[in-house]
Amino acid sequence: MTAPLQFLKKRDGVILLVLLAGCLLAMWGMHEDETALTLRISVDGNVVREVPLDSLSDGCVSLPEAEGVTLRVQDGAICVEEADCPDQRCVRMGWIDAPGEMIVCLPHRLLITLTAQTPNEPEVDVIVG
Amino acid sequence: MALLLLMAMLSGAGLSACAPKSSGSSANEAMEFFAMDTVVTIRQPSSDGSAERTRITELSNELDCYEEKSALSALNRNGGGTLSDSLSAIMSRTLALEERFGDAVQLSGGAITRLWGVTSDAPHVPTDAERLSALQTVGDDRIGLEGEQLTLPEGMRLDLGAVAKGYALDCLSADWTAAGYAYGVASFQSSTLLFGKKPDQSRFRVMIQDPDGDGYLGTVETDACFLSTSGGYERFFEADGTRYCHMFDLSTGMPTQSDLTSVTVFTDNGLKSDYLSTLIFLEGTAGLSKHLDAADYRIVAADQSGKLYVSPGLDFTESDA
Repeated sequence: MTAPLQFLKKRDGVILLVLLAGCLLAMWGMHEDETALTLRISVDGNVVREVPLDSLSDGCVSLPEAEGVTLRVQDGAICVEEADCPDQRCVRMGWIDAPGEMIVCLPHRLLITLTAQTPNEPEVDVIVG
Repeated sequence: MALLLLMAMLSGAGLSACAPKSSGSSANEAMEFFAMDTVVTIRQPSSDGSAERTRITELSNELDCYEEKSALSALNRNGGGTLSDSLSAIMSRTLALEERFGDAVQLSGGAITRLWGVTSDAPHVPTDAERLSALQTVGDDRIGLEGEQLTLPEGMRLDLGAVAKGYALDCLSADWTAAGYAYGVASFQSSTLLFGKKPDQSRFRVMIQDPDGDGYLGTVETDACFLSTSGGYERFFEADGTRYCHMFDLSTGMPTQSDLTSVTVFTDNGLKSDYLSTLIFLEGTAGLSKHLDAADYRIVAADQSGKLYVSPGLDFTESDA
């Protein structure tokens, strides 16, 4: 009686491992899907940059189209690090790293948005506040 | 048995992780533009967005009291005049709301908002004399309205900032209904229209930003509706270490000291959601209970200690810390 049980356990282990591997793969795929973000920067309604966020290396980004604004990219997120606008709203908005998030600087007419690269129905329809 | 269970669990997890997030194939691109002193985002698969942009830009040019060329600015300069259909609708609808909710939000606070200029390029703290003088001009009960004819008392200035975006969303909603559209989202950041049914038939998901940080207060799932958010963190300025909010206590002419940090209102019309989010914010926690129990709108509010207040009946999920 012990032999078949032991065999089962072995098979158990193999199936478990295979399933686990499959699961990890799936999660990895999902993770990659989540981080595949397009960064779009527009100034006064004109798109001046549209690139995959992960194509930018960590560090500062300055924009010839919006003088006085410095962006920072770090670990798949972006923020306005410095701006010479009076209200500093854009700086206070902090980091964005998810589809649908945006940073606005009204004085500079600057709009920084992140969208999912796969144009599915949006998971979140609107972010308010 | 254990094996079967494990297999079921694992394959379940694997499947859900692999499942596509939606089957929608429509280009669901959003268009964005600047109007009404904010960013407008339109998601409307049935149109290229140009009609919406024209509509909102026209309304903005009509209703913006900070734009010298607007119809509203002309009324303010001339002490009145003939109202356009939009101005007439906004005034009568807002005055009707004041009958029910009191005078915390008024249209005649323009002299106060202009004096402080919180949302202008040059905000400043006025002298007490300046403030008290501007305060004399506030009072919606003294607005003269005979049909389409508006008469403003000496010095009174209208500021429709608390309701104009919501009204614009009402107009868009009417346009989309007339065009027979099935779905759409229009947002002015602080005010949003969730129209019709999403192509995948799921409910709309709204995330509310945490006023005290980078994260979110939580997520609301809802059917089509209008919603507006008010919070002092959106627009303010600092002088001598004091933070001045863009919303005013019209009994003192001072920026509000509300103990709430964020209020979001969900209801069936845009002007009302706009009006109510400002009103509830100004009233603070002291006025919250009646709003939480209201039959015709739902709210999510947060106070300075981080406590959340959510209307029963609202499908709200709090974010993890």
